[in-house]
Amino acid sequence: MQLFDAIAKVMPLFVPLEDERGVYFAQWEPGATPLQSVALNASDFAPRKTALSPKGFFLPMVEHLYSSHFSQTKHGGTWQITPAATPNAPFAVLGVRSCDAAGLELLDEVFLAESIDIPYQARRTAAHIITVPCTKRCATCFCDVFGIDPTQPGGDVTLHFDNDTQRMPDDPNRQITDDMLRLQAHTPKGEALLKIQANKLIHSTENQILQTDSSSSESIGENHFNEAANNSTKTFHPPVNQKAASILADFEARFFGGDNPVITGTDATALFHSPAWDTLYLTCVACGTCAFLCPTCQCYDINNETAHCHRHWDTCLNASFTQMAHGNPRPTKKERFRQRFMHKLVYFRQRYGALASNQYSCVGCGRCVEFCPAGINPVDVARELYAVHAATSPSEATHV
Amino acid sequence: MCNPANHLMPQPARITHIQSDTSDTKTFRVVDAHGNIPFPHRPGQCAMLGVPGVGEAMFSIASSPTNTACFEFSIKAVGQLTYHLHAMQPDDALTIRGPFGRPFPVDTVLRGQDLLFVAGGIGIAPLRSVIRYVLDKRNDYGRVDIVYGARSAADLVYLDEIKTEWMDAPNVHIHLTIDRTEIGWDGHVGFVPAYIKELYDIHAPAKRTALICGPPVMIKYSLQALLELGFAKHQIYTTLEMRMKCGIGQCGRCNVGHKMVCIDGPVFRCDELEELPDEY
Ligand SMILES: Cc1cc2nc3c(=O)[nH]c(=O)nc-3n(C[C@H](O)[C@H](O)[C@H](O)COP(=O)(O)OP(=O)(O)OC[C@H]3O[C@@H](n4cnc5c(N)ncnc54)[C@H](O)[C@@H]3O)c2cc1C
Ligand code: SF4
Ligand code: SF4
Ligand code: FES
Repeated sequence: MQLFDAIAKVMPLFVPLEDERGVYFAQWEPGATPLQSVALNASDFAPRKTALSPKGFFLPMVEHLYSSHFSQTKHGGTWQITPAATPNAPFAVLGVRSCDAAGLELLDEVFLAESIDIPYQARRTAAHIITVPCTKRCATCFCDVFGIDPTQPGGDVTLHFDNDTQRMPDDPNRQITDDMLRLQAHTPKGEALLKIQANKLIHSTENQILQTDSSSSESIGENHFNEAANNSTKTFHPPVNQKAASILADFEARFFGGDNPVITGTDATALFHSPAWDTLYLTCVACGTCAFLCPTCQCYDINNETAHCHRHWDTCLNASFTQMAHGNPRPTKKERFRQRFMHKLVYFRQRYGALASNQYSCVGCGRCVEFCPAGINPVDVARELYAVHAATSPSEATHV
Repeated sequence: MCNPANHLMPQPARITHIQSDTSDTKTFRVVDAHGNIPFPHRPGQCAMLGVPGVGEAMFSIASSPTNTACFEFSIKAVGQLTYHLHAMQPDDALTIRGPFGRPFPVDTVLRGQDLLFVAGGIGIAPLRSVIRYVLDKRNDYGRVDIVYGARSAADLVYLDEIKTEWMDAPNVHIHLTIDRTEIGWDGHVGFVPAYIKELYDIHAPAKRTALICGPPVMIKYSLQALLELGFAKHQIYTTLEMRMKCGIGQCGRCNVGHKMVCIDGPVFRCDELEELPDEY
């Protein structure tokens, strides 16, 4: 894979690799072949996404923030704080899907808007996101419900397969080769990445750099590319998840729309007090798997209990999350479960709705659907909430 | 050096003085590494104090911005960090970051108003910043009433300061109360909310604002009492307390509904709380 090798020579490149656990992002070793060891396997490339979202490249699971060193002074002593180095070394992540690319945009609203998270910002700036369009739907995903187009994943560069993608699923042993890949830049950073490659790659690979969004006049093989792109969007667009779409549309209409929405303005207390919560949470075992896998879950903890201050992923499903000396405002699993889904379906929208392209804190990646041991997911929660509240005002419940 | 734009990065600080207020509360004076106030703040804002290897937690800055020599924090010992702080001595080293949160509108809404402070226990800490500010700018505000209650006389934080400084200030009326009668106490006995209603001169003229802080039950019943006395919800401010880690609305820990208490609060006007779930 000269293409991968060329990028990996310039900066660390992470691609979806398959091992016995499943498909995870891992660093590309120049010279490796993608067949079997890489999830970019002809047979399962299109539908496979990584078990973990790329969130961890920007908000690592565990991150060193600073170290403190005590030194004696004439006043007794002082703490010397040594911040972790700002992570601004360039890197590339290849294989990001539409859902996860959209998830990063939602995290941007949290980490780059009201206040800036410095390490997150540094990593976002340093990262080259190479997306791949989906041509087949996973069993559990529903991104298009949120207006996310699985065939147009954005990012800095999109990696398309040649216009022959249709053949792929039938040929499990077909190896991915360089000549099948087509690159399309969307941002100046993406264009720069393609230029680096053009210089470093052998002549034949240059032809892969087909078109950039902004400088089409200079691009090579533009027509060929457009054909490929059109083919992939027209012919291979996976069907919308109709079931999820109609549930979310009902939810949207009943809670936010119409003459008599359950949520009025910024007042969501009626939904907060919904009797639906009394039973919805019962099967949840509070394992936190959903939040761990979720590309849009932002919560973290800061641990100062050693001289090396770390932050790490946390979740509102943890009983200790809001524990205080005088008590816990979310004392049982019911309140904690409600918090997670109120945040996904309502609070995020209330707080960031005007900024974010997606109104929900969910991009329909389907990971929680797939891995929750209790089979809980945001669409079912939305459906149950709707079922309870549709009855409270039948005229509102009709939806086309 | 720490990055000024990185709100998660603390700076070194030092304790200069510790005063024992009650059996479980001490007031700490804190300065930065150069002996100055660590950063500017407004009354009602908070700071994260930390001891590396022990923990970090949010505390109200109990001193007023008019005190340009040091910060003061009144801290109740309840857990890992706070017990550690209570065992510390002047000159011991800490870390600090901040300021965090939305302050009381002392220079806008509250200016020219009659002010009624209602505090319970350690809840006096954030209000003290405003009280000291008002005392230092006495002509900018009208009549001041302070209703302050605790379990016992020994649990009244700042009692010496109240007697020697607050009581003597012009047009400032102090109303102290404790939960149960005790020997040597000739003041009022009873809970704060009931006491507010007993105070004949506390009514709600147009230019009066109430500021409440204390345990959640006290806040709840005091709010009711004030509404009965004719206060409108927009004339009442309170502060909320949720567990906090980042202080900048990102760690997701301190939300009440869609509001993040660390940046949208901790000071809220009571009508703003109406549309939020009562999950605090
Ligand atoms: C905006 C704001 C302003 C504040 N102002 C003040 C102030 O002016 N003065 C003041 O004294 N306090 C103030 N507080 C409260 C203060 O932050 C807490 O008292 C402090 O965090 C306690 O820290 P700690 O390390 O001592 O306690 P911790 O050791 O963290 O524990 C505190 C309590 O929580 C419980 N707890 C903690 N972690 C867990 C867990 N994982 N599982 C179960 N239970 C747990 C423990 O039972 C313990 O009783 C304020 C808080 C906020 C949010
Ligand atoms: S994965 Fe399922 S069971 Fe686990 S915390 Fe999330 S909703 Fe609950
Ligand atoms: S809530 Fe579930 S489906 Fe939605 S983005 Fe998170 S993990 Fe994916
Ligand atoms: S303390 Fe982190 S979001 Fe408020």
